[in-house]
Amino acid sequence: MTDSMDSVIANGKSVAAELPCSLETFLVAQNLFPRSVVVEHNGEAVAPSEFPQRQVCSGDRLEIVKIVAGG
Amino acid sequence: MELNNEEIRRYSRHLILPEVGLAGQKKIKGTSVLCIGAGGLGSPIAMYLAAAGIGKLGIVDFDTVDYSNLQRQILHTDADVGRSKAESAKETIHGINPNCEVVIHNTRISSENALDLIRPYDIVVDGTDNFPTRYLTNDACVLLKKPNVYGSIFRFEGQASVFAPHLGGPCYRCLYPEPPPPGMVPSCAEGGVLGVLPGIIGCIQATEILKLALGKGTSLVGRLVLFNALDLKFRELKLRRDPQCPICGEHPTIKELIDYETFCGIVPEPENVGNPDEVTVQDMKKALDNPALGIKVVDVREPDEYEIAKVAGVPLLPLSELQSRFTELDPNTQYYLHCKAGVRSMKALGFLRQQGFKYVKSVKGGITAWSDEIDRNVPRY
Repeated sequence: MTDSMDSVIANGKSVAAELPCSLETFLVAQNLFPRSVVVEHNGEAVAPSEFPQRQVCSGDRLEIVKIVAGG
Repeated sequence: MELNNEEIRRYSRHLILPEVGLAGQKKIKGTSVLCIGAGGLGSPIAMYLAAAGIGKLGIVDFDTVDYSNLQRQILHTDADVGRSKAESAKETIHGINPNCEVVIHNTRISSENALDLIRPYDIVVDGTDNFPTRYLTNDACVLLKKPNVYGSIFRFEGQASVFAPHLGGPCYRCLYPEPPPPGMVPSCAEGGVLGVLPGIIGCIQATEILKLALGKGTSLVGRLVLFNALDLKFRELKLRRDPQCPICGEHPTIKELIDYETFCGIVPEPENVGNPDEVTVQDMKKALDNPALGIKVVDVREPDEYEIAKVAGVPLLPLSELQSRFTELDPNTQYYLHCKAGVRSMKALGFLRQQGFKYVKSVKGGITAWSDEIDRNVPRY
């Protein structure tokens, strides 16, 4: 088995996850729809098409915004 | 484009700003804006743009004013309930600034009319309240190379940006290539919204429009501003264009407007064909009036909603607690589940079926239909 769970800082809060993993995998593990969220990874904009390749490591900072439609 | 004496007096606080001045005010007057939606966001947008001297304001809305709009849609007053929102908006805007030419489009924006509606305007502002219209607005703006000033709200949080691939920024699809499955993200009607919130987000959108008109400042192109009213905090995310974006990317696959309801997974309900999982509020009344039928009615809304409005004799088992409390129900009893409008009761039905409940139905239209069709004393909310 792999080592223990690591964590990232997502929207300012520590979130445990099996790391490293792709951003896509991380989002799915958090019950988010990767096609319907905006993500900034360590202060950098990430396009949705990069989510499957983008590696998330322990200690990384993520800002995640969910889509809303109200007006 | 000249300003008369009345306009010079009206816009004096603009004219003395070096960033605006006479030249800038003339630019504002020479700008036309199409506001899609005359609701929560559209209200402050239209009112401030008119006050600020935008020359031409198009308003697209097919809806009528409802009492539940008045807590935030400040274009409309108590006396406007039941009137066309577009008409009501025109009257309010005219009252603020009769110099503003208001063109109302009392119609639903669609793939058929969107390009023709948008084409005559310089800037589009998205004040819509649903995913299909947001994707439609985005795609039409990308195809016509019009800046799309975006804002959206939910509960206590809002977001705003300016989408303009032709100015080097991303579009809505670069951020959100696809909407979540239908029903996964509640609307303001289902989840609520703080009345002031669209005021704040709409004013950010109006600000961006004036900056675009003036060609001043740093626009929100390439940035997403997020606002949380409960924490009273703003934050900002950097955005980038997605080279794989299906409409503004390197190899676009969307070259004309598509069917946005289908894209968003919304299947039109076949008319006059009943859903076998649904019963009507009349059926629910029969069940309540005739206990001998052995049908039990359960309300799956949340306790706060139960406090606002309830049907006498119907117990509460909130959807949020169903997973831990479904054992309180008998899998062999027949249940009619109701919520506010019929969406959550259908979710509850799906869950209970998985747990082996065979005789569960969802009440179509929920307590809202009950209020409309059975008992008007039950408040609509």
